[in-house]
Amino acid sequence: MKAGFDGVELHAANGYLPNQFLAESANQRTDEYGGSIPNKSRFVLEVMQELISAVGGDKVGIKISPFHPYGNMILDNPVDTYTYLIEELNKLDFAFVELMKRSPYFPSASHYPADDEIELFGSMIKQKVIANTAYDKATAEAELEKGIAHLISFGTLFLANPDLPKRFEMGAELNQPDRATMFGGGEHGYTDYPFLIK
Amino acid sequence: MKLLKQIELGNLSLKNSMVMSAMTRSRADIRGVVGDMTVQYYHQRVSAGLIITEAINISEEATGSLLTPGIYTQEQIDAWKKVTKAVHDNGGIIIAQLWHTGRVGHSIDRNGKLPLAPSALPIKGMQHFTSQGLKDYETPGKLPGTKSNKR
Ligand SMILES: Cc1cc2nc3c(=O)[nH]c(=O)nc-3n(C[C@H](O)[C@H](O)[C@H](O)COP(=O)(O)O)c2cc1C
Repeated sequence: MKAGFDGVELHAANGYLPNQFLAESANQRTDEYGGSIPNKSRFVLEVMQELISAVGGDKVGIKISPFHPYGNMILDNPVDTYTYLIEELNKLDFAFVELMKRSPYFPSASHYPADDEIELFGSMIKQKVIANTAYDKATAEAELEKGIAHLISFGTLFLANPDLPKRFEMGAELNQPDRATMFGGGEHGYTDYPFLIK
Repeated sequence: MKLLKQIELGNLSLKNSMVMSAMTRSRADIRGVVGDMTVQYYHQRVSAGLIITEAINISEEATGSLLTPGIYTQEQIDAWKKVTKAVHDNGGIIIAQLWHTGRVGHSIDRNGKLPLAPSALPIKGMQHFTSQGLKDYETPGKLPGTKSNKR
């Protein structure tokens, strides 16, 4: 916050540390941070409590990816685990949950249900819901019409289209993201995606 | 279009309902400091209702990949100030995504130190992109049973 940010988001998705505590494929602890669903969830909840007391709940959010297996995340019971986590998060006062759906490129384990994450989990969430993964203009608009998610987040589309809202407004064509320049390198594929009208 | 409608989020008033999600771009320097190129990159995207930064390492220990930015040294914080100023001066809103990679790292790029994770269980079925090419994941060390330093 000292750096002038308007808020913070805890990265609890994509197989990183908070996500690792939730998954049996990374957490076999026998202390109060492993084993039962409440124990596996303790780490994420404690970090959120700390963030809320450090910067104020109205400036805090969290990103979760319940059915996304990236980083070798396999939960014995993903629905019960995330249902518990969300119920506990609902007791905390903070701004938003960014709900990342699984991607077709990363199939989840066979014991995972086929449910849509926004319908299943989004409807339980008390905070504002930001829906994420693979949305385009039409599917994003349809998702907002459904009324569960309040906002939509776009990754690759914003990467390739600095003026994405304007392009949606005008029904303009979109630049296509270039995979080769996503990670590392210089200005090419970073700051040189063209604007519609400069 | 609902996407273009303004919306309140916490204490923030967003000009539309479109969020730029966090994307690691690995363009910081070796000390985790972002440069002018990154200021320009975020500045260009201020028309998003909300920008969420690329994941930012909260400590040296939290770091899993080379050239990802941090926010634990004064130099790193000062560099981010330039980003947030450019975004604010141009009507944008930006929040920081806080990152601890846990087992998703490699000792090659961690001064020889193994990553730390909930349990000593390596990632299977994936490799890590290191400064010396793709490597199998190592078995991480186990984090001690105290409250963590993730803030
Ligand atoms: C190059 C790249 C880097 C990413 N880095 C992060 C990251 O640092 N933190 C994060 O939470 N998600 C990260 N993601 C995931 C995106 O935020 C987003 O969840 C994902 O791309 C799905 O949204 P999309 O289909 O609109 O791109 C990254 C995605 C891409 C393409």
